[in-house]
Amino acid sequence: MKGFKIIKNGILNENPIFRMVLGMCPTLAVTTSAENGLGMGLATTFCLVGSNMIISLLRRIIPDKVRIPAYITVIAGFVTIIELILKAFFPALDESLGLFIPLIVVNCIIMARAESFANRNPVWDSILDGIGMGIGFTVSLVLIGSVREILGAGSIFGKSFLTGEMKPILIFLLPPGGFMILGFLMALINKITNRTTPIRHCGSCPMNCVGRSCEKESVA
Amino acid sequence: MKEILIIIFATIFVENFVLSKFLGVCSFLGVSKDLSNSVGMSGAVIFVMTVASAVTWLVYTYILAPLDMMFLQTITFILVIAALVQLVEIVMKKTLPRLYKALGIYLPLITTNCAVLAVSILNIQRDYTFIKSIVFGFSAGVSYMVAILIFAGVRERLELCDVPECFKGFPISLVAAAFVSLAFMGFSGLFAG
Amino acid sequence: MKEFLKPAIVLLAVCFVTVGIVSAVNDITKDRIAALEEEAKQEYMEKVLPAADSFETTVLNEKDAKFQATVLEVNKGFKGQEVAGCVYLVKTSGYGGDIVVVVGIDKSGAVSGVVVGDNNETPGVGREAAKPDFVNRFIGAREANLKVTKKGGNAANEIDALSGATVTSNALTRAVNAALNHYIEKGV
Repeated sequence: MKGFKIIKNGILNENPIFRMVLGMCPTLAVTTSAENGLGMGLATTFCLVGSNMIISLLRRIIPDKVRIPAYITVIAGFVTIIELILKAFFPALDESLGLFIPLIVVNCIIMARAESFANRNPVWDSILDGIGMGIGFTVSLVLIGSVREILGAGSIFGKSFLTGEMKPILIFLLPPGGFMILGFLMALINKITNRTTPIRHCGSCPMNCVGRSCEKESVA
Repeated sequence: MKEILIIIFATIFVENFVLSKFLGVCSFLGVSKDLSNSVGMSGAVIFVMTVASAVTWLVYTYILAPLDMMFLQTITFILVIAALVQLVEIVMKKTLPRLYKALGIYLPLITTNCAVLAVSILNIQRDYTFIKSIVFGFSAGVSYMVAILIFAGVRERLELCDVPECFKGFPISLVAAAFVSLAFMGFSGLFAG
Repeated sequence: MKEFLKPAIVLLAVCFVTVGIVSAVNDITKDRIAALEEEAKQEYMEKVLPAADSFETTVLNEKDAKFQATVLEVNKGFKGQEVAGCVYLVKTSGYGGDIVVVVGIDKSGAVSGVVVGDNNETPGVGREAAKPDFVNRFIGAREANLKVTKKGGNAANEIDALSGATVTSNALTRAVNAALNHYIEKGV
């Protein structure tokens, strides 16, 4: 079924973190625990699905000249909505994710999907793509967050499994650990799937490949 | 004056935007392959961050706050930054063509650089004055430059290494970045108490 | 000119609709957000000054250069009509950014409780300093001369640092000092 294929694509083939290497900033910053990873993943998914949907709906109406500012406005709108919802109903999560909630607006994943999928595919497909990418992002964040939490805090989703004598390896919760765990996990996944993740030269954000020689994404 | 100096040095070393706060990592990893690209990108980043700090501070203080529309902060800031970058590109193309040749191609990339938006938001969060905001923006850009230049050097050495297949590209770069970040941790506590 | 008109209008329309929807969501959530903040604050204040059951807030934002802290607020605590003490909200700079510390001083002039607000201190190290085990070391202090030591402080004004969390320990100590200083100089 085509829809299922789109979703699966976002989780596996074009996994935003491990395959496309997008959204590095929040990935490294919020994965200090599995729960934070989950929260960020879901918040981003909300924005991703919402913006994909609206941008696909308006794809024939928004003229090319003002494409980027219009997309930015729509994405920023969804990000602000999720900001307010988190502050009002999930203050603890809002506190843990902090600065990175408003930074969802510059999360390359959302702009990349808008540019390469939502603006040339029908609404339902775009929604599914948002869901697929969102799930892929969330699952990856939870994976990285869990590894860092288990090694760095001796707990998983807040439940500690350490006995009195055991101490966690703190470095994994700190910046160096973040870089390292992500690097190792990426290498591990590369090994398992027999692929590599070469670094693209356009600063890793597909939006800026427009009109240049970098490859453009296109699924479906 | 002392506070200003503290902001500068603390931002560059103790809370380095890339290595400590994970802001601007995407472009940091992508651009650091080439030393000359890194210099170009850093120059553009420093410029945009400084100007964006100033402009967003003004927009917040004189438009958003008096009208009690602080919740529109995210939308306004990112649009201001995007517009600013466009404007800078146009102006630079016409008035400073040589500078444009060196920095120009990096400018559009900076709109989505989370570090720029982050600086704008942090200025407000930390209640900085106008001058302090500009200093903070400038220092943040410099912190990015320090990180990327060091890392470009590291990656040059990496090129000469025999890296296992599954680590080639991003993974080994991330691990290398981990060590640079670790080195910078040595600066922490420099300005405490 | 014509070719600029349509894109400009579309862009403006998108902006207006977005801002409109966001404003609507803001209206719906803002009361709840304000209430949550008030609730959290009330909880902190009662924790550090259990003797009080109501508070009167004065916002200060006074910088204390000596202790590199900012006294944000003074909350006079009342039990019924009687003054039961004072709760200070002090902001200092910790390892990971600003920390807001809530310091309760009872009517005898001794620190009755310290609670650390949300912060970015390092989990496992600095963040441990926010826990009762550490902050309770401040209880009973009366003079604004508290100092962090690493050698197992025994003197009345020595606070034993939390190992690995010197920066955070220092930050919290400065905050308590600032609160005590304000209390001693300006009273309740």
